[in-house]
Amino acid sequence: MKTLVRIFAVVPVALLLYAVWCVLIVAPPSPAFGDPNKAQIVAQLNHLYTVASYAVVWAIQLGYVAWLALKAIGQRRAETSAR
Amino acid sequence: MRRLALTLYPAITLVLLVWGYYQAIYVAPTEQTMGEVQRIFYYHVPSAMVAFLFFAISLAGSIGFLAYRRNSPDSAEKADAWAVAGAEVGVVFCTIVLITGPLWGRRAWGMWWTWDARLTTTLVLWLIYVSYLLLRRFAAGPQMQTLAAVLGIFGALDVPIVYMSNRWWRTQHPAPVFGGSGDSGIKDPTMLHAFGWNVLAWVAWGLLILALRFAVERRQQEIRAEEAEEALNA
Repeated sequence: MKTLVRIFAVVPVALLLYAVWCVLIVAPPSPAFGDPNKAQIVAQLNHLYTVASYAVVWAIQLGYVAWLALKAIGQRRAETSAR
Repeated sequence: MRRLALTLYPAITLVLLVWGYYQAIYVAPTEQTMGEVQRIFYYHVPSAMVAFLFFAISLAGSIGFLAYRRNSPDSAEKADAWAVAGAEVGVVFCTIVLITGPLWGRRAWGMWWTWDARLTTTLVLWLIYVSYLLLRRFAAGPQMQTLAAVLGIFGALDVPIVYMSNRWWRTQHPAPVFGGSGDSGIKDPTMLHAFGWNVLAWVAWGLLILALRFAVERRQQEIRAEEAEEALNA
């Protein structure tokens, strides 16, 4: 069970790295004034930021749930060893 | 019955989250000025609403703890568990608000952050509740819960200030979605539906993790009580 939760805990980290990758590595620089491809670049940037934002939301939520699960498992183990 | 509810509620929440995502990404129309990045709004605003709701639960728990701590210790412990669960899950949602907001701001305003009243008061709210959680984690002694309850009550005073900030002061943050002036808020019914579904989905998800956190805290209290009893008997 604990191994499963630990594997599950990797997912938020992967999502967070994916969000950083979207915003800091893949995202093209903002288009200059008068750039003929401005609309296309802006649309691409908007898409990447939206995806990164959703990835961050789930990274935080799933990270918290994984932390709660680890805490609950720790409590169960402490109760079993006390008995 | 209890087992059925425990299985059914997470399943309903999952369906709501998937449906909310579908509504926000595929059904709601693209906003004309901001483009696709406006879709961040469908989970940024519900996350803020859920954070406010859970800080209110934390406030009720803190007041309950202070009210019951002398006459009914078991009720006080239960209220304290609600206070800590509300504060912690509220901080999770508030963190999401403080990260998704700047991601939207970078595209919409061209900057990550500005010291505008709404943003600053939200950051202060987050800092107050993070300090509440740090106090609970690192302070020891019988007065810790009382101190945390007082801090929880003071922290909750910032919630109405955050809520009213873009009504009281001229801010860069967009106008209120609800209860603002006539020209603010969502006008498109499809957008409103998508927003409503997402509010429902995030409230359901939030309540699920709040219940989990409450259960973990109650078990922690039982472990602490057993340890104290063993120490007395030894």
